Amino acid sequence: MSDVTRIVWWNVPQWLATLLYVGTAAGLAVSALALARHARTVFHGRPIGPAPAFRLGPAVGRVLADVLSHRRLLEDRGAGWAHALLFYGFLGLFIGTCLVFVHDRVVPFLVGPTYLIFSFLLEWAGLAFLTGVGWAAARRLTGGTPRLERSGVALGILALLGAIGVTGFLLEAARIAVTDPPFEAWSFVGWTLARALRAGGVAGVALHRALWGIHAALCWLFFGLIGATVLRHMVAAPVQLALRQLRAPGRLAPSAPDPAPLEPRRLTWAQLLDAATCVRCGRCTAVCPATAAGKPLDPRRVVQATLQAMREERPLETLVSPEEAWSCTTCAACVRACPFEIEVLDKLVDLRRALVERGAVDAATTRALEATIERGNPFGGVPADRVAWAADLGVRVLRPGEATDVLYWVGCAGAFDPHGRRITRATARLLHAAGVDFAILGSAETCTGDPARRIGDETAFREAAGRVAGTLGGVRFQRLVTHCAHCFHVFRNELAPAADGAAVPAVHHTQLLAELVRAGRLAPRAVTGETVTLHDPCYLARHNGEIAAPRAVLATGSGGPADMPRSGERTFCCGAGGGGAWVEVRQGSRIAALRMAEARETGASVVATACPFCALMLAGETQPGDIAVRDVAELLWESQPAGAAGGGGTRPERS
Amino acid sequence: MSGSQSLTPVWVVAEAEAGEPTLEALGEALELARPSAPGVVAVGPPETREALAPLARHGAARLVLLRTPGAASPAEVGCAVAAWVTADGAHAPIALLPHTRHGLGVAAHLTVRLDAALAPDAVGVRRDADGGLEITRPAYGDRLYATVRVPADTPAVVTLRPGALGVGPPTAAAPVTVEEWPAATGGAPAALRVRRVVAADPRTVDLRDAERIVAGGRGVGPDGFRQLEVLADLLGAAVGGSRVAVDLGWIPWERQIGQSGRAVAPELYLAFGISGASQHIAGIERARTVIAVNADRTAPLLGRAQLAALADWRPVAEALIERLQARRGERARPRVSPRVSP
Amino acid sequence: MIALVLVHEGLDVSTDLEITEPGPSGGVRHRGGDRIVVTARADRTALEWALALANRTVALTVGPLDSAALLAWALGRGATEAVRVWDEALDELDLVAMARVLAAAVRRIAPDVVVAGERGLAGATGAIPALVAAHLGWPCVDGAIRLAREENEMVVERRLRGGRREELAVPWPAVVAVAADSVEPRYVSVGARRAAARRGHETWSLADLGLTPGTVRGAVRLRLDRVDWPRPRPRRTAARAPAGPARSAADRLRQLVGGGSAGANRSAPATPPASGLVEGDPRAVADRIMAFLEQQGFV
Repeated sequence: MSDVTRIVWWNVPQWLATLLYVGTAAGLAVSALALARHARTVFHGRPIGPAPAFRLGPAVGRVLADVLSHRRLLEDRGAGWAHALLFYGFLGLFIGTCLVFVHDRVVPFLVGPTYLIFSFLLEWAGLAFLTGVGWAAARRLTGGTPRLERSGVALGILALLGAIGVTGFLLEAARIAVTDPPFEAWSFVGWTLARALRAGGVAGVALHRALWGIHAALCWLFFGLIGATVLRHMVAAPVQLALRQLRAPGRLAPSAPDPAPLEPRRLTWAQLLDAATCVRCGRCTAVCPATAAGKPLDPRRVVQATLQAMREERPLETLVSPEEAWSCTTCAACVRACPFEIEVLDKLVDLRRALVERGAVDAATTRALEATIERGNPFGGVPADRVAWAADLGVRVLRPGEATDVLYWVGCAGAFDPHGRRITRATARLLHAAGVDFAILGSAETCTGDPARRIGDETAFREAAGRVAGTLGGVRFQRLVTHCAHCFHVFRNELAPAADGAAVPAVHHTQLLAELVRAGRLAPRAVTGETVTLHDPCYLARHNGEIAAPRAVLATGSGGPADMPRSGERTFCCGAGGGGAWVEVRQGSRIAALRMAEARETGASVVATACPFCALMLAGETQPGDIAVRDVAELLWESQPAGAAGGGGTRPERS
Repeated sequence: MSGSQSLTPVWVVAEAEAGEPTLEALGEALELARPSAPGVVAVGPPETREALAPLARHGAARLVLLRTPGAASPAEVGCAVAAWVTADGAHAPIALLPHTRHGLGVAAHLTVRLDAALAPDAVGVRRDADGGLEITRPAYGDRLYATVRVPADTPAVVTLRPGALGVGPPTAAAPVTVEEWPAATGGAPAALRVRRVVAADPRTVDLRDAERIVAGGRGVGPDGFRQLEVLADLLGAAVGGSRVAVDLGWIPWERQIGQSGRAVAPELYLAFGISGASQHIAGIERARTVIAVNADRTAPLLGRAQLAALADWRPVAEALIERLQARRGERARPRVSPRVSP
Repeated sequence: MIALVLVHEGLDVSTDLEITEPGPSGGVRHRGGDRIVVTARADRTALEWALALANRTVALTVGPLDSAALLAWALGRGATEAVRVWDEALDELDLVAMARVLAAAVRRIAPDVVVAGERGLAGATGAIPALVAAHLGWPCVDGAIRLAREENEMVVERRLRGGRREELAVPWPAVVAVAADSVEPRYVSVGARRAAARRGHETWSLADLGLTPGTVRGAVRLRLDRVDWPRPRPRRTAARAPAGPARSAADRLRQLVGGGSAGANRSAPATPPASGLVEGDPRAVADRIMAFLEQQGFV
């Protein structure tokens, strides 16, 4: 059976073989140069600031897991499968070629049954590859997925890949048509095509040689394009995924120390690597709430602008307008949707930081920032009014030096906004009813600085965070609970680095309430005539991964709340993030209006929220008699038995 | 009463037209000057004496006109009055003026020349037991009243908030001849040259500056705003609307009135089909006169209005247009054509 | 061109106040005992105009060391220099004495134009710019909404009644008081304020102005006796009832509370409609509205 094999260089004269190596080397060299240039630029990017130590094991694990499983890609099933076929097909063919090289140069092991199985598998690889390419091209051309571009480059690359695949098969067919060994029936595609060639009378060594040459040239072209096009992602993506562990998604880096205020900021290496990895798939734009609402922001465009800035060595602010920067709500849907977790919002916040330094901030935003500086909250409320909600509830106010088990951090929205106050009252009553030893800080509370940070005044944030850290340092508590997703995010992730202090043991009120219900200290939610759908806050579900707790609190005997199509980690923003409650880009419609439309479509009678900002934004879109907006705490309180120790006052009426 | 009191003359510095604010100041001066009577001094061209003469019927004992060739600047008025009052032999005079832009300017110069105390924007002046003055004025953004004291034998300049004091009935006093003297304005900055006066076009004026506003809300509908524009034209008003009208695209966002839009302070606010959410009412807090027309009895704006009408807005607006056009005696051209071709 | 901007800070008057003891100003606070101190909105606007007008802007305030933050803001916004005048004797001055001190400081700085806010915080009358101008003998323009510089004079636009505007030719030196809403003041980031605070400001004593505590105290002409809640004040009326529909009780109440046209007392409750709810046939309603408009003088 030793002749059941393939003559590797059959019909290929020496010069053509040499040319193959030369061409391949040339193509790879071109790409290597381009990639090296990118790498150098990335290497010279600004540092990203404090980051955890790099661990190789998890990095490799991450790369393998993401790449092999295609899990992010498969969130769009069509795209995921098309790419998987393309990828694994390509991988198979590539490994096959390498094995042929080994067979040719090292040990001729592809003989007999080994060869037959090898041929058979490679046919499938080739078919998979072509199916993937064809599917991808069809998706682009039919226009069913709007985010996919139909540009010359995109279609051209697909055409190139397709041509490589097709010529590969034709090449094989041409060889089989001439040599016609019977065992090549295992290469069933080639076998079938060979028949066709012979029938067409075009079979011959000349055809084979020509196809061989064409196929080789196409491959050189492919190698050369890796460095210059989105094919770059083949190299950049593994690096990007490996290094992703150094930054948490959606997290902001501190601003560069003492920058010359009016000079454009240099991009960090991470931002540059992001830009190099982007393949323009547009998933970020497809999930962006600002884009959906018709604002000027297009996340894909921002990342591509970063690439352009990188290439042309221009400041990013010459390519991205302030309106785009102000449209972002920092919800991080874009980061989550991207297969490579490319950060979009850090570039926009950097632009905002530059605008804030220049004072190029509109009036409403200025008022909010000034109010935070003058009176410690962006709502402009008087500090003494922070306890107004507690009037009849008999809540303990913690003085400096005192201790409590749970410190209930009310936050600014919870103290000054009418919707927020209802949430605070409900939560306080629940804590009383459950017998939790808790206290509040009252008028000693000041803004955690989240709005200032997202709007771009990093120093204002650090000052605010420092004040809060100082206030917290003066009292003793086991845990801090807050009902505001933004305060929660700051306490959990940003306060310690900003204030050079220890982390605050922070818990979101949904987490604490779920715990209390589980422990039987609070009655679980009763079945009522209402249907509830849950709106996950971005800063709870996506930035901090808490999805189960609100659902646990809302669960009744007959099940949990209904989910909107975009829920959990894929939740759709309410529009208040990124300082959105005080920054308004007047184009398009309001993001909250879109979310409420989605809520109404579920047919539910109540939208449950878990953050006072979500509550106030969504409630602002309701009409009388419309779907109601209530916080998880309010809904749970309604289910507590009358006579529960709510700390005074009567059972709350529907608000 | 000590002798020094009767030597403290009270002068009212009249504005050129000697209108209600001047009369208010004169009314207050009357009380202050008892048992004497106050004098009134004005600075201006000779024609001013006509405006001065009637003031005798409101209690002025002396009427003095300090002549200038043309209208005098506040600085010239202040200096001339200071010079006159000093030359007249007054010791520690008290000067009352209306608190207007012009009046404050006069008061400043008067204060400096007389080295006097200044209490601007007051709502009441009276003598206190020691012969000094006790003056009440709004403070802290009009939230509180401050009471200040001027010691006896101190010259004082007080400007009075127009509308706070009211005008009493005229008396049947004998007419007083107007004394005329030349005004000694020496060295005071003259009136500034007016390069031009720009009339406000209600159609394009920023709502925050508009004196009159016609506004529409949800009840008006997209075509309704055409009607409102016609009405606004006839009234010389600007057109605005509630947030709903902007959201639904009936008017541009610059015309939104409310907390998240423009806060307006017109003399006249005429609202059609606006229910009046709290954020909208916050935007018209400083509107002087509010007229609201709404078919919904429970609309909060009806409670805020000086004149509230429960009716369907369209026929009311049409009827108003008719009446205003009849007054004008001509047909107003609609702002938005189309004209029906003959 | 050198512009001098008068800036000050004081108790925020846009929020409800409390009187803790009915004596001179020390007793006025915000709810809960806090004193929220803000920079006057009109002063921010004044600085914006000064920066647009001049190539050298000096910010001037009279106040103790606490005012350093105010000057840090002004410097952070772009003022070239900042000066703070302080002496113990300057603590409880009246308007005329304060104006004297400010005028002395202006003379020392010798700017081409003084830009101030039209209204202050606690006082809110605009007397200070007028007094300073009177001391200096300079023209004073108030209510300015736009300033521009031409060859050898300034062009100042200001509002007149009815939404009209007049454009004045103003020679310098002059004092201009600007309307608070004539331009949106820019935000100054906290980082910029901190950097400015590090640069510091100049401090002047009375001696630097050629004054002594004695002369300053001697310039005070009146003293604040007390601060109270507003009370209804009787208003004079002419004996004859005015023509037109009879005034309702609400109308009379409004008259009693008074307060005049310039700024109704914001703590007073909203008044109910003067003439109740009009209903009925639309044409009759329109007639009623026309009569009202005529009575109020709108047509």
